[in-house]
Amino acid sequence: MNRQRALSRRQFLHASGLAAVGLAAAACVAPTATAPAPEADAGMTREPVTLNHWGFSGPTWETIWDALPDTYPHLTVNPTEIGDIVFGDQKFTTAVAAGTGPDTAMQNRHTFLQFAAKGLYQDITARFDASTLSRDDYTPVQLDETVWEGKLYGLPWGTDVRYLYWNKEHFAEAGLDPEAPPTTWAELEAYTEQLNVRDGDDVERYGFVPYLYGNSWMWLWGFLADAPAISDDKRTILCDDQKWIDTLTWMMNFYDNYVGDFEMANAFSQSIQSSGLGLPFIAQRTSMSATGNWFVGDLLRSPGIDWGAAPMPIPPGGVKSTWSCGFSIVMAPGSEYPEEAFEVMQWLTGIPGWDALAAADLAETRRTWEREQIEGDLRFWPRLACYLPALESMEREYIPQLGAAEQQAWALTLDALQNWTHGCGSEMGVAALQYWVEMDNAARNALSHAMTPEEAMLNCKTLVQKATDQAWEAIDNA
Amino acid sequence: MAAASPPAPRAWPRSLRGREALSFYLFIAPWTLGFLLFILGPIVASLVLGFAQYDVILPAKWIGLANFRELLQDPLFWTSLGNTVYVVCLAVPLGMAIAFGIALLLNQKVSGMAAYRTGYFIPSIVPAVASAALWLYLLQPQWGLVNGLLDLVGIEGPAWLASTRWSKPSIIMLMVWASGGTMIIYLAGLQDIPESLYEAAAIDGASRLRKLWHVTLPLMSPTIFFTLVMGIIGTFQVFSVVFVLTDGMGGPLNSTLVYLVYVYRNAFVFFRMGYASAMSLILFLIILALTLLNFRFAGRWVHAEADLS
Repeated sequence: MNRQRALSRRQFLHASGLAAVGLAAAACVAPTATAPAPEADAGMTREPVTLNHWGFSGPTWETIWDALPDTYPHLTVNPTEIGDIVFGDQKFTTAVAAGTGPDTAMQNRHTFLQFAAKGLYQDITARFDASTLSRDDYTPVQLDETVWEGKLYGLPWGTDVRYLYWNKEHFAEAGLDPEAPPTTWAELEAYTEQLNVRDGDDVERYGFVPYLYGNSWMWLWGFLADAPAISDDKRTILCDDQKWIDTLTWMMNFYDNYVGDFEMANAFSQSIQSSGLGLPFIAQRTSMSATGNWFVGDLLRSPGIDWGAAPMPIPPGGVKSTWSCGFSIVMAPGSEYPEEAFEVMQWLTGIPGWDALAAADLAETRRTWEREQIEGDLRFWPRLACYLPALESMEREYIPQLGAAEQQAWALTLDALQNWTHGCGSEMGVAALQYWVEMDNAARNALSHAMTPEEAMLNCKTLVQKATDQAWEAIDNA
Repeated sequence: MAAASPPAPRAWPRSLRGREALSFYLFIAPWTLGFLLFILGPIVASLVLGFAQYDVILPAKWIGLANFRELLQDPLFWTSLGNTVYVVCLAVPLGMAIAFGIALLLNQKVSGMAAYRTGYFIPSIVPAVASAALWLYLLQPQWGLVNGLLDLVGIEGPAWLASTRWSKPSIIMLMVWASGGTMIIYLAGLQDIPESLYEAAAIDGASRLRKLWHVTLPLMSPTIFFTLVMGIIGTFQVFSVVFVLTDGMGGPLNSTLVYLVYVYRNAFVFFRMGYASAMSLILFLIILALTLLNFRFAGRWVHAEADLS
């Protein structure tokens, strides 16, 4: 008789214990870069390589890598979400420190110098110089932001600029010239007063709300006033400069005179957005907004708004400026395939990568238009590439189909990128995260009257200077 | 005839006791390894790093007590500690009182009680991130349910999470709402009280209130003590809900910057691991001191057979 032997409880316990220990041990094995596939295609001259890339996720980003083999048949990318790359970059930083980083990764340029100085990125100067790439082919400010102590640590990928949007219908209603946006801070105040609409104590419409609405932060206002953020050697924080204090004082007075309570203005904006009405400018609950070039894409989906875009108004003694940031692609230290990693960097930031991204963006935009049942022909506003040939390629492909307002905004964008941009990376130094947080705290403290503008900026200076000194001490001693 | 060769050493123990011991160690090995690697290891590392300057990337540098000296001068350290103490002082007693009241109600013998108990317990098993997202909607100033209800009785609700005055009470409301776990513990405690004691009290003519004061509360005191100790420990470590409600910033104007959010900011935003480790060590000492203090005074009000001294 063929009798199958039953498993005893003790044997089961032994087996489960061993299996659990085995699983735990297996889980503790450090991940390694994917090895090249053993069977190389006979038609290829190079071994196939799969690279790990940490960056953005979502439907758009999942599809673009499929186009990589069209340019580099031997390359495949395994993309992974990088997580937060604005406040801390925890995943990338800890992984690189542990020696388990990816081959390539997207990085925010506002923290670029801080992390480059600590050795989180590979120096790619030699590879860049040996390639067909030219420094002249990049938007100058963004390329400079990837340079630390004369060496290139990444390729700038995308960027943005900020300007003033205004609602022409609101201007006409308020008796203002709909084709003449404010050009000075004094005009901005006067226009805001005329455009504000209140029903008793309740706000129906704000003419303009600096800082809280749109995407201007404290930085843009300071740069418009020609306020210096950091010394040329990146060792001295200058946010206690009188120009910063004056800027914050102006903004505080603006709230007191034309906006009212900081917390209620915040709640007003949140309530509009939470109600599904979109941003206050889209909901036509504010007549002017200081925000970025990407906002044109939102406006294209709101065809009822007659809008224009102009450079930000400036104060007396100020300068024409915009606040520009964005992302770069870097090679992590320890990549086993530096040559291939550089090829991926070159592809993503070059024309093929941008074409693939624009195609994916366009498909996503089409889905959005269908989902939101927007009437009229699909219109697409591309992102801004730092690689000028790619930027020009997209301009040729997508801008001619757009309307006059969008074309004027595009021209403004190119002008800003070439001529009057303050780049986030070059203004923040080696304690960028602290600077970002403390500048934001300074603005909020002053606007809500928790501190005077002078106290707020001095507090910012003290905290960020200390962090900067500590960062430099570590860099100098490394 | 060749001499008999010595028996080969056995890899597995022969005796039943030995085999059982081996099974035991194998079975607990995954947890033990996990504990050593991911809990005890970081605790010990944190103790050491508290005395170092360490940014994750560059090697740690021993700086003695400098982190602790700097903490004493750091206004945000005191703000975060003050915010946390505020939350502990209100959320713990309020959560305990409400959980106790609900447990008393749910200890009645009425039909459909299982459904009521489930209903009150559900908030405590909602993940912190989901409950925080839910409360973002409830506390929305213009059309949120909370202000809507206040509006019905003629009260104009505040801006809650956007207001420096009301942001901490908002957090406390959320924490109290999720105190179903404490309620279940109280319910179990209440059901452990012998019915004969209530019958004896009734024979003596005790009112409901007297029964509560002289029978229920004394017999529940060990349970209340347990929830008090655990509540203080847990609330000092409040993190997830605040992090989600305030986008990790502890705003507005640091009014909800609780201790662990500030630890997180230093460790994983500013990468000041040494400083954050020093903060963690201080929190450990505060919690340890408060727990010892609780045990020290427990003898005065906790009716327990066990020696608490």
